[in-house]
Amino acid sequence: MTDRRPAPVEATDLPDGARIYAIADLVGMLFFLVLGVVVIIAAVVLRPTNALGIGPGMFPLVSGVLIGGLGLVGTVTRLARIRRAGRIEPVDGGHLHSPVDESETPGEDETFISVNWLRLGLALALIVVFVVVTPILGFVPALALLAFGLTILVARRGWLTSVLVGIGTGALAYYGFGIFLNIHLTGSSLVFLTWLDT
Amino acid sequence: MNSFEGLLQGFLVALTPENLLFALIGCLVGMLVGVLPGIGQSAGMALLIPLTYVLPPAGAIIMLASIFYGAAYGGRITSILMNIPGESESVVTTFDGYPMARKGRAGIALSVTAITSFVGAVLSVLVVTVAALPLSQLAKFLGPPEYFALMVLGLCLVVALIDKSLVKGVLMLGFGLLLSQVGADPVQGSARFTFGMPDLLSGIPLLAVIMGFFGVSDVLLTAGKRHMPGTMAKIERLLPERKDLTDSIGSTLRGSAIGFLFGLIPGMVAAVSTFASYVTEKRVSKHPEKFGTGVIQGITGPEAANKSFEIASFIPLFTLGIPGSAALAILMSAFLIQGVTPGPDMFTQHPDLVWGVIASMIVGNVILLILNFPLVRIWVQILKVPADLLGMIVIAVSVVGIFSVNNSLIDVALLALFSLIGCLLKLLQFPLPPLVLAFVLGERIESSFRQTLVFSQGNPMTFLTHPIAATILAIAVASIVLLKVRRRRPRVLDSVISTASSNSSSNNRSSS
Repeated sequence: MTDRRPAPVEATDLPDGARIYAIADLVGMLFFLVLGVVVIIAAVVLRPTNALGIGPGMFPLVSGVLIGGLGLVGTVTRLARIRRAGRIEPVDGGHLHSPVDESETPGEDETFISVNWLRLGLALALIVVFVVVTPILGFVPALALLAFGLTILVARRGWLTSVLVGIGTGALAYYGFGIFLNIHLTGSSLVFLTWLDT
Repeated sequence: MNSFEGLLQGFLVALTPENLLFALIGCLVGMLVGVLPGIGQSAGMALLIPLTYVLPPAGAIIMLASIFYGAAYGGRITSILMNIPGESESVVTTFDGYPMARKGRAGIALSVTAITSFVGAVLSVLVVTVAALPLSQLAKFLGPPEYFALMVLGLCLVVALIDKSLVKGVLMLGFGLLLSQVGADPVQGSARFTFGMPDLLSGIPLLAVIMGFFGVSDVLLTAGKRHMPGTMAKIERLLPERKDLTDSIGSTLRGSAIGFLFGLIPGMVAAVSTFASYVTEKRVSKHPEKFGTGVIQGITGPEAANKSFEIASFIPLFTLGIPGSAALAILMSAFLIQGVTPGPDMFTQHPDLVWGVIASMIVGNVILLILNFPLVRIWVQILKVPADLLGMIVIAVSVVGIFSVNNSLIDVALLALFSLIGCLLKLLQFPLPPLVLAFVLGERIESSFRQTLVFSQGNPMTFLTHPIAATILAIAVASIVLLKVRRRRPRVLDSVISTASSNSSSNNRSSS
C-alpha cells in the first residue's frame, strides 16, 4: 500500500495551477486570520460576559478565536512550506479531486485555471446590476434583462435564444410567482412598465 | 399510536393527489440534479426551498425529501453509461457499471441497479418505521446539556469524516457559527454584526447562504462549459435475466444493511458506505479478481447501500433534530420554515407530517423505480441538454426564489456575495457542509449552551457532571482525535480504487 501524498517539488517545476493554488491557499488563510482578529475585537466590544453570566459577545469570541487561531495555524504552516528551501508543496496533497470526496458538487473538480473568471465575474456583475435596476424597472423586466444578459454574455448564445430565455424567465416570474403563487414582486417606477406589476 | 399505525396514517397523507404530485416533482428534480453533474443534491434542494414557503407543510417536506433520495438514483446513470459519477457516492458504480456498459449490458446494469436501489430503500424505510418512534421517545429524556453535546458531536463528526484538511474543516465550522450570529442575540436581543442595517437584525437569510454556497456557486464554477465530457454507451436490452437477479440478492441485502448502519451516523458520507459495500462484496466473492471487469455484485451492493444510507440518515434528524449532512440541513431548514422543529416531539406534535414523510419515501421510491426502469431512456436524452444554458436559467430562478421570500433586494445581493465566497472556498478546497451545518445549528447550539449555564448558575462544569452529555462530548473529541487513525481509510480505499481501475482499464483495452 503506497502513500499517494505528492513529494515536494521545486516551485519552478510546479504546474501553474498548483502554484496559483498554493499562493491562493496562503491568501485564504491570511484572510481568515485577519477575520478572526476583527471578530475577536468586535466580540470584546459586545462584552463576552455580563451580569447575567454569558454576554452577547461570548459566542462571537469563541468563533473569532477558532477562526483566527486556525487561520494563524494555516498561515504559518503554508509559509513554512513555501520557505522550506524555496519549495512549494501542493497543500493538502494538492489533489483537486478525491474519490471519497464528501462534496457532491462537480465544482470541486474546478481549479483556479480552469474556471472562466470573466464569465463568473460577468454573472455576478449582472446580479448586482439586477439589484440596482429593479427599483427602477420593476422586478419582472429586471429579471428578464438578467436572464437575457446571462444567456448572451455568460452562456454566449445568440440574440434570438437570449431574447427567448429572457422573455421566458420573465413570464415564469410574472405568471408563476406573481399570479399563481400570488407573491408581491417589486413594481416599476416607470409608468409605461407598471402593467407588469403584480 | 404505534409505528405501523403511524405508517398507515402516513400513507393516507402521502397518497393524496397533491402530495403524490409533490413527490413526483421532487423525484423528477432529484433525478435531474443527480443526472446532471452541474447541480448537486443540496443545490437542487436549495433551489426549490423558496417554493416551500407557499406550500402546505407535508407537500413541501415530501417534495424536498424526494429530491434528497431521488438524486441518489440519478447519479448512477452517468456512472454506468459514461464512466462519469454524478455524485461522489456513485464513483464505485463506475468500477463495474461502465465495464458492463462496454460489454453491451448497459441496460441490464441500469435496470438491475434500479431494482436493487428500490429494495435497499424500502428495506431501510421499514427499519426506520420500526426504530424511529422508540428512539424519539428515548430522546425526550435529553435536556439542554445533552442537546448541546449532540449538536457538537454532529459538527465534529462532519469535520472528522470528510476527506479534507482538519484545519479547513474546523475553520468552516467557525465561519458557519459566525454567520449564524449575525442579527439579534437570541437571549438579550443585542445587535451583532449588523453594520447598522435593520434588514440584518433577523439574521442572514438561510436561503442566501444555502443557494449561494451550493446552488449558484456550482453553476458559476462551470460557467462556459457546454457539455459533459466522455462518450455515452448505448442502451440495448433493459430486462435483466433471471441469473442477474439471483446473483444480486445477497449483495443487495448486504449493501442495504451496510448503508443503513452508516446512515445512522451523523456526518457520515454516503460514499463511504458504497465503498464499504464494494469492499465487502469483493471479500465475500469467490472470484474477487473479476471485480472491475463488469461484475454485477459490484454495482448492486453499493447502489443498495447508497439508497439505504440516504433513508437511514433521516433517523438522526427525526429523532434528535440533528441533520447529518448539508442536504439534510437544508431539509431541516424547510421544517423550520414550516414552523416545525425536527426532533423527538415531532412524532407527538406533528404525527401526520412525520409519518406522511416516512410513508412518502416508499411512494417516492416506487415513482423512482418507474422513472428508472421503463423510462430510463428519457433521462439519457436529458444529458444532451446544454449544461451552460441550464445553469443560467438556474441562476435566474434562484434570484426569483430568494427575492420572493422576503421581497428583499438585500437578500439577492447577499446571494451574489455568498456565491462569490462559495466559489473561492470551493476552489481552495474548503469543505462547505460543516459551514452550512454550523450555520443551521448555530443559534440552537448557543441557546442550549446558555440555557444549560442558566440552570447551573453559570457553572460550565455542568456539561461534565451530566453523564450523557459528558459521554457525547468525549465521543466528539475522540472523533476529531482519531483523525490520525482515519488517515488509513483513504489508503484502503485507494487500493480498492486502483485495483478496480486497473481491472477496468485492462478490460476496456481488451474489449476495444
